[in-house]
Amino acid sequence: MIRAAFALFALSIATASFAGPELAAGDKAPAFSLTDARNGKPVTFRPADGRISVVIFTCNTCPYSKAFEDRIVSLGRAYMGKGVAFYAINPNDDVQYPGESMKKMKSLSSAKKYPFPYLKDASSVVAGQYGARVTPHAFVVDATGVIQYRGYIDDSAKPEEREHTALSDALDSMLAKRKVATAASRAFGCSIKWKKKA
Amino acid sequence: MVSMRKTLTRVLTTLLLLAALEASASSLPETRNPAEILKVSNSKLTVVNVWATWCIPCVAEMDDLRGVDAHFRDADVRLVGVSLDDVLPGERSATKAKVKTFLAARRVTYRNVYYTGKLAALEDFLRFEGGIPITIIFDRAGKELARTQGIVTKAGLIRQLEQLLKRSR
Repeated sequence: MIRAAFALFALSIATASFAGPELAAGDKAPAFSLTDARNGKPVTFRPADGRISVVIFTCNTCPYSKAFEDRIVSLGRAYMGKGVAFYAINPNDDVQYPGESMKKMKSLSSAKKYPFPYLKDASSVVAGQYGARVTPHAFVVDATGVIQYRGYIDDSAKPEEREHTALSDALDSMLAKRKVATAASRAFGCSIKWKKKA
Repeated sequence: MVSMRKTLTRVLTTLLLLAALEASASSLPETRNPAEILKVSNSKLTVVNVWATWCIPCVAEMDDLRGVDAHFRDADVRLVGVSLDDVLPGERSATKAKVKTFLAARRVTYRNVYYTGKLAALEDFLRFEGGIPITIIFDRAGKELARTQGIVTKAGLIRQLEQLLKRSR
Protein backbone atom coordinates (compact mmCIF):
# COMPACT_ATOMS: atom_id res chain seq x y z
CA MET A 1 0.00 0.00 0.00
CA ILE A 2 2.74 2.38 1.06
CA ARG A 3 4.79 1.30 -1.95
CA ALA A 4 1.82 1.92 -4.27
CA ALA A 5 1.25 5.35 -2.77
CA PHE A 6 4.95 6.17 -3.15
CA ALA A 7 4.91 4.95 -6.77
CA LEU A 8 1.91 7.17 -7.48
CA PHE A 9 3.64 10.12 -5.85
CA ALA A 10 6.83 9.47 -7.83
CA LEU A 11 4.80 9.24 -11.04
CA SER A 12 3.03 12.52 -10.31
CA ILE A 13 6.41 14.21 -9.77
CA ALA A 14 7.81 12.72 -12.95
CA THR A 15 4.86 13.53 -15.16
CA ALA A 16 4.51 16.99 -13.68
CA SER A 17 7.83 17.83 -15.31
CA PHE A 18 6.34 17.85 -18.80
CA ALA A 19 4.45 20.52 -20.61
CA GLY A 20 0.75 20.69 -20.30
CA PRO A 21 -1.32 22.64 -22.80
CA GLU A 22 -0.12 26.17 -23.36
CA LEU A 23 -2.32 28.44 -21.25
CA ALA A 24 -4.20 31.09 -23.18
CA ALA A 25 -6.03 34.34 -22.59
CA GLY A 26 -8.92 33.71 -20.24
CA ASP A 27 -7.18 30.91 -18.32
CA LYS A 28 -6.37 31.27 -14.63
CA ALA A 29 -2.67 31.71 -13.97
CA PRO A 30 -1.16 29.07 -11.69
CA ALA A 31 0.46 30.25 -8.46
CA PHE A 32 4.06 29.34 -7.71
CA SER A 33 6.73 29.67 -5.09
CA LEU A 34 10.30 29.42 -6.30
CA THR A 35 13.79 30.43 -5.20
CA ASP A 36 15.24 33.70 -6.40
CA ALA A 37 18.75 33.10 -7.71
CA ARG A 38 19.73 36.67 -6.83
CA ASN A 39 19.55 36.09 -3.07
CA GLY A 40 18.42 32.51 -2.46
CA LYS A 41 15.11 33.66 -0.99
CA PRO A 42 11.73 32.20 -1.89
CA VAL A 43 9.39 34.29 -4.00
CA THR A 44 5.70 33.54 -4.18
CA PHE A 45 3.38 34.60 -6.95
CA ARG A 46 -0.24 34.63 -5.90
CA PRO A 47 -2.40 35.47 -8.89
CA ALA A 48 -5.28 37.86 -8.25
CA ASP A 49 -3.07 39.90 -5.95
CA GLY A 50 -4.42 43.09 -7.47
CA ARG A 51 -1.38 43.68 -9.70
CA ILE A 52 -0.70 43.08 -13.35
CA SER A 53 2.06 40.48 -13.54
CA VAL A 54 4.42 39.31 -16.25
CA VAL A 55 5.78 35.76 -16.07
CA ILE A 56 8.61 35.11 -18.51
CA PHE A 57 10.21 31.71 -18.93
CA THR A 58 13.79 32.35 -19.95
CA CYS A 59 17.23 30.93 -19.27
CA ASN A 60 20.98 31.54 -19.21
CA THR A 61 22.22 29.86 -22.35
CA CYS A 62 19.61 29.92 -25.12
CA PRO A 63 20.73 32.35 -27.84
CA TYR A 64 17.17 33.70 -28.14
CA SER A 65 16.95 34.33 -24.41
CA LYS A 66 20.31 36.04 -24.53
CA ALA A 67 19.17 38.15 -27.46
CA PHE A 68 16.15 39.28 -25.45
CA GLU A 69 17.96 39.73 -22.10
CA ASP A 70 18.44 43.48 -22.32
CA ARG A 71 14.94 43.91 -23.68
CA ILE A 72 13.43 41.98 -20.75
CA VAL A 73 15.44 44.05 -18.28
CA SER A 74 14.40 47.34 -19.89
CA LEU A 75 10.75 46.25 -20.03
CA GLY A 76 10.99 45.26 -16.38
CA ARG A 77 12.44 48.63 -15.40
CA ALA A 78 9.84 50.53 -17.44
CA TYR A 79 6.76 48.64 -16.27
CA MET A 80 7.71 47.86 -12.68
CA GLY A 81 7.71 51.63 -12.27
CA LYS A 82 4.05 51.52 -13.32
CA GLY A 83 3.17 48.90 -10.73
CA VAL A 84 3.57 45.78 -12.87
CA ALA A 85 5.25 42.76 -11.25
CA PHE A 86 7.83 40.82 -13.25
CA TYR A 87 8.95 37.24 -12.66
CA ALA A 88 11.66 35.64 -14.80
CA ILE A 89 11.70 31.87 -14.46
CA ASN A 90 14.42 29.50 -15.59
CA PRO A 91 12.76 26.10 -16.20
CA ASN A 92 15.75 24.26 -17.67
CA ASP A 93 17.19 21.16 -16.06
CA ASP A 94 20.57 22.10 -14.65
CA VAL A 95 21.63 18.48 -14.18
CA GLN A 96 21.77 17.87 -17.91
CA TYR A 97 22.64 21.50 -18.61
CA PRO A 98 25.01 22.88 -15.95
CA GLY A 99 24.93 26.29 -17.61
CA GLU A 100 21.43 26.67 -16.18
CA SER A 101 22.52 26.28 -12.55
CA MET A 102 21.43 28.60 -9.79
CA LYS A 103 25.02 29.83 -9.49
CA LYS A 104 25.12 30.80 -13.17
CA MET A 105 21.69 32.40 -12.82
CA LYS A 106 23.00 34.50 -9.95
CA SER A 107 26.00 35.65 -12.02
CA LEU A 108 23.79 36.53 -14.98
CA SER A 109 21.19 38.40 -12.97
CA SER A 110 23.94 40.30 -11.20
CA ALA A 111 25.79 41.16 -14.42
CA LYS A 112 22.59 42.29 -16.12
CA LYS A 113 21.25 43.97 -12.97
CA TYR A 114 17.91 42.17 -13.03
CA PRO A 115 15.40 44.42 -11.26
CA PHE A 116 13.01 41.45 -10.87
CA PRO A 117 13.33 37.97 -9.36
CA TYR A 118 15.13 35.36 -11.45
CA LEU A 119 13.55 32.15 -10.25
CA LYS A 120 14.69 28.54 -10.58
CA ASP A 121 11.97 26.11 -11.62
CA ALA A 122 14.26 23.20 -10.82
CA SER A 123 11.81 20.44 -11.69
CA SER A 124 10.24 22.36 -14.62
CA VAL A 125 6.87 21.97 -12.89
CA VAL A 126 5.79 25.59 -13.21
CA ALA A 127 6.74 25.64 -16.90
CA GLY A 128 4.61 22.52 -17.31
CA GLN A 129 1.65 24.14 -15.58
CA TYR A 130 1.82 27.20 -17.83
CA GLY A 131 2.43 25.07 -20.89
CA ALA A 132 5.54 27.05 -21.71
CA ARG A 133 7.33 25.52 -24.69
CA VAL A 134 10.35 27.65 -25.31
CA THR A 135 12.62 30.26 -23.80
CA PRO A 136 11.70 33.08 -23.88
CA HIS A 137 7.96 32.60 -23.49
CA ALA A 138 5.86 35.34 -21.87
CA PHE A 139 2.53 35.33 -20.03
CA VAL A 140 0.74 38.48 -18.84
CA VAL A 141 -1.68 38.07 -15.96
CA ASP A 142 -4.23 40.67 -14.95
CA ALA A 143 -5.03 41.85 -11.44
CA THR A 144 -7.70 39.15 -11.06
CA GLY A 145 -5.29 36.33 -11.92
CA VAL A 146 -6.48 35.78 -15.49
CA ILE A 147 -4.03 35.49 -18.39
CA GLN A 148 -4.52 38.28 -20.94
CA TYR A 149 -1.57 37.62 -23.25
CA ARG A 150 0.81 34.80 -24.00
CA GLY A 151 3.50 34.35 -26.60
CA TYR A 152 6.61 36.21 -27.72
CA ILE A 153 8.03 39.39 -26.25
CA ASP A 154 8.54 40.99 -29.67
CA ASP A 155 8.16 39.37 -33.06
CA SER A 156 11.89 39.55 -33.76
CA ALA A 157 15.02 39.09 -31.69
CA LYS A 158 16.60 41.76 -33.88
CA PRO A 159 15.54 45.16 -32.51
CA GLU A 160 15.76 46.80 -35.94
CA GLU A 161 13.33 44.25 -37.41
CA ARG A 162 10.75 44.45 -34.67
CA GLU A 163 7.26 45.07 -36.06
CA HIS A 164 5.10 43.80 -33.23
CA THR A 165 6.01 44.58 -29.63
CA ALA A 166 3.33 42.28 -28.30
CA LEU A 167 4.27 42.15 -24.63
CA SER A 168 4.58 45.91 -24.13
CA ASP A 169 1.45 46.47 -26.27
CA ALA A 170 -0.50 44.13 -23.99
CA LEU A 171 0.79 45.89 -20.89
CA ASP A 172 0.00 49.33 -22.29
CA SER A 173 -3.54 48.22 -23.08
CA MET A 174 -4.08 46.70 -19.66
CA LEU A 175 -2.69 49.73 -17.86
CA ALA A 176 -5.03 51.91 -19.92
CA LYS A 177 -7.94 49.55 -19.07
CA ARG A 178 -8.31 48.65 -22.74
CA LYS A 179 -8.81 45.19 -24.21
CA VAL A 180 -5.58 43.54 -25.30
CA ALA A 181 -5.67 43.56 -29.11
CA THR A 182 -3.40 40.56 -29.63
CA ALA A 183 -3.96 38.03 -26.88
CA ALA A 184 -1.75 35.30 -28.32
CA SER A 185 1.30 34.92 -30.50
CA ARG A 186 3.59 32.03 -31.27
CA ALA A 187 6.52 32.20 -28.87
CA PHE A 188 9.82 31.36 -30.49
CA GLY A 189 13.11 30.33 -28.99
CA CYS A 190 14.87 27.27 -27.65
CA SER A 191 12.94 24.24 -26.51
CA ILE A 192 12.70 23.98 -22.74
CA LYS A 193 15.18 21.45 -21.38
CA TRP A 194 12.73 19.44 -19.32
CA LYS A 195 13.83 17.67 -16.21
CA LYS A 196 14.23 14.02 -17.17
CA LYS A 197 11.69 11.53 -15.90
CA ALA A 198 12.57 10.24 -12.46
CA MET B 1 47.34 0.50 -66.05
CA VAL B 2 44.71 -0.38 -63.45
CA SER B 3 46.47 1.60 -60.74
CA MET B 4 46.75 4.60 -63.09
CA ARG B 5 43.01 4.45 -63.73
CA LYS B 6 42.40 4.24 -59.98
CA THR B 7 44.59 7.26 -59.37
CA LEU B 8 42.83 9.20 -62.12
CA THR B 9 39.43 8.29 -60.66
CA ARG B 10 40.58 9.44 -57.23
CA VAL B 11 41.86 12.74 -58.60
CA LEU B 12 38.64 13.33 -60.54
CA THR B 13 36.50 12.49 -57.50
CA THR B 14 38.52 14.90 -55.37
CA LEU B 15 38.20 17.63 -58.01
CA LEU B 16 34.46 17.10 -58.27
CA LEU B 17 34.12 17.20 -54.50
CA LEU B 18 36.16 20.39 -54.31
CA ALA B 19 34.03 21.95 -57.05
CA ALA B 20 30.85 20.98 -55.22
CA LEU B 21 32.25 22.36 -52.01
CA GLU B 22 33.22 25.61 -53.68
CA ALA B 23 29.77 25.95 -55.26
CA SER B 24 27.99 25.11 -52.03
CA ALA B 25 29.97 27.50 -49.88
CA SER B 26 29.95 30.41 -52.32
CA SER B 27 26.25 30.25 -53.16
CA LEU B 28 24.20 30.79 -50.09
CA PRO B 29 20.92 32.20 -51.39
CA GLU B 30 18.94 34.40 -49.07
CA THR B 31 15.22 34.17 -48.60
CA ARG B 32 12.75 35.71 -46.21
CA ASN B 33 9.88 33.70 -47.68
CA PRO B 34 9.70 30.21 -46.15
CA ALA B 35 7.86 28.85 -49.22
CA GLU B 36 10.96 29.62 -51.32
CA ILE B 37 12.93 27.02 -49.42
CA LEU B 38 11.21 24.11 -51.12
CA LYS B 39 11.73 25.70 -54.53
CA VAL B 40 15.47 25.11 -54.15
CA SER B 41 14.80 21.47 -54.95
CA ASN B 42 12.68 19.69 -57.54
CA SER B 43 13.66 16.23 -56.44
CA LYS B 44 11.41 13.30 -55.63
CA LEU B 45 12.42 13.74 -52.00
CA THR B 46 13.66 16.93 -50.38
CA VAL B 47 15.17 16.84 -46.92
CA VAL B 48 14.95 20.20 -45.16
CA ASN B 49 17.25 20.56 -42.19
CA VAL B 50 16.88 23.68 -40.04
CA TRP B 51 20.07 24.56 -38.19
CA ALA B 52 22.32 27.35 -36.92
CA THR B 53 26.03 27.67 -36.22
CA TRP B 54 25.27 28.35 -32.54
CA CYS B 55 23.15 25.20 -32.18
CA ILE B 56 25.42 22.48 -30.79
CA PRO B 57 23.27 19.45 -31.74
CA CYS B 58 22.81 20.91 -35.24
CA VAL B 59 26.54 21.08 -35.71
CA ALA B 60 26.93 17.59 -34.24
CA GLU B 61 24.69 16.03 -36.90
CA MET B 62 26.27 17.82 -39.84
CA ASP B 63 28.78 15.10 -40.69
CA ASP B 64 25.93 12.59 -40.78
CA LEU B 65 23.93 14.84 -43.10
CA ARG B 66 26.96 15.17 -45.33
CA GLY B 67 27.15 11.38 -45.40
CA VAL B 68 23.49 11.14 -46.34
CA ASP B 69 24.01 13.66 -49.13
CA ALA B 70 26.94 11.67 -50.48
CA HIS B 71 24.96 8.42 -50.28
CA PHE B 72 22.13 9.83 -52.40
CA ARG B 73 24.31 11.82 -54.80
CA ASP B 74 22.99 9.87 -57.81
CA ALA B 75 19.44 9.51 -56.51
CA ASP B 76 16.45 11.80 -56.76
CA VAL B 77 17.00 13.11 -53.25
CA ARG B 78 18.20 16.56 -52.24
CA LEU B 79 19.21 17.96 -48.90
CA VAL B 80 18.56 21.62 -48.16
CA GLY B 81 19.97 23.22 -45.03
CA VAL B 82 18.20 26.31 -43.69
CA SER B 83 20.45 28.51 -41.60
CA LEU B 84 18.69 30.37 -38.79
CA ASP B 85 21.74 32.42 -37.90
CA ASP B 86 20.10 35.60 -39.14
CA VAL B 87 17.25 35.54 -36.63
CA LEU B 88 19.57 36.66 -33.86
CA PRO B 89 20.98 40.19 -33.56
CA GLY B 90 24.01 40.86 -35.73
CA GLU B 91 25.06 42.53 -38.94
CA ARG B 92 23.63 40.46 -41.80
CA SER B 93 26.59 40.44 -44.16
CA ALA B 94 29.01 39.53 -41.37
CA THR B 95 26.74 36.75 -40.08
CA LYS B 96 26.22 35.40 -43.56
CA ALA B 97 29.95 35.42 -44.21
CA LYS B 98 30.43 33.49 -40.97
CA VAL B 99 27.90 30.88 -42.10
CA LYS B 100 29.63 30.52 -45.48
CA THR B 101 33.01 30.04 -43.82
CA PHE B 102 31.46 27.56 -41.43
CA LEU B 103 29.93 25.52 -44.26
CA ALA B 104 33.20 25.50 -46.18
CA ALA B 105 35.17 24.44 -43.10
CA ARG B 106 32.70 21.61 -42.48
CA ARG B 107 32.90 20.60 -46.16
CA VAL B 108 29.16 20.78 -46.52
CA THR B 109 28.25 20.03 -50.11
CA TYR B 110 24.47 20.05 -49.88
CA ARG B 111 22.51 23.17 -50.66
CA ASN B 112 21.92 25.73 -47.96
CA VAL B 113 19.61 28.69 -47.71
CA TYR B 114 20.22 31.73 -45.53
CA TYR B 115 16.85 32.52 -43.97
CA THR B 116 16.27 36.22 -43.33
CA GLY B 117 12.58 36.21 -42.46
CA LYS B 118 10.81 36.06 -39.13
CA LEU B 119 11.23 32.88 -37.17
CA ALA B 120 7.48 32.73 -36.49
CA ALA B 121 6.79 32.63 -40.26
CA LEU B 122 9.17 29.71 -40.71
CA GLU B 123 7.65 27.94 -37.71
CA ASP B 124 4.18 28.37 -39.21
CA PHE B 125 5.30 27.13 -42.61
CA LEU B 126 7.18 24.10 -41.33
CA ARG B 127 4.82 23.59 -38.38
CA PHE B 128 7.49 23.35 -35.71
CA GLU B 129 7.96 25.00 -32.37
CA GLY B 130 11.31 26.64 -32.83
CA GLY B 131 13.50 23.89 -31.43
CA ILE B 132 16.37 22.95 -33.72
CA PRO B 133 17.68 20.87 -35.28
CA ILE B 134 14.62 19.69 -37.10
CA THR B 135 14.70 17.63 -40.29
CA ILE B 136 11.63 17.29 -42.49
CA ILE B 137 11.24 15.18 -45.63
CA PHE B 138 8.97 16.45 -48.40
CA ASP B 139 7.84 14.90 -51.66
CA ARG B 140 8.03 16.73 -54.98
CA ALA B 141 4.59 18.26 -54.42
CA GLY B 142 5.73 19.75 -51.12
CA LYS B 143 3.80 17.27 -49.00
CA GLU B 144 5.48 16.38 -45.74
CA LEU B 145 6.35 12.69 -45.47
CA ALA B 146 8.32 12.51 -42.23
CA ARG B 147 10.06 14.64 -39.62
CA THR B 148 12.66 14.27 -36.91
CA GLN B 149 12.87 16.76 -34.08
CA GLY B 150 16.41 16.52 -32.74
CA ILE B 151 19.55 14.90 -34.06
CA VAL B 152 19.37 12.56 -37.05
CA THR B 153 21.91 9.84 -37.76
CA LYS B 154 23.33 8.93 -41.14
CA ALA B 155 22.15 5.31 -40.93
CA GLY B 156 18.69 6.24 -39.68
CA LEU B 157 18.06 8.94 -42.27
CA ILE B 158 19.38 6.78 -45.13
CA ARG B 159 17.08 3.95 -44.07
CA GLN B 160 14.12 6.30 -43.86
CA LEU B 161 14.82 7.86 -47.27
CA GLU B 162 15.33 4.49 -48.93
CA GLN B 163 11.99 3.31 -47.59
CA LEU B 164 10.30 6.47 -48.84
CA LEU B 165 11.95 6.10 -52.25
CA LYS B 166 10.78 2.48 -52.46
CA ARG B 167 7.25 3.49 -51.53
CA SER B 168 7.15 6.19 -54.17
CA ARG B 169 8.22 3.88 -57.02
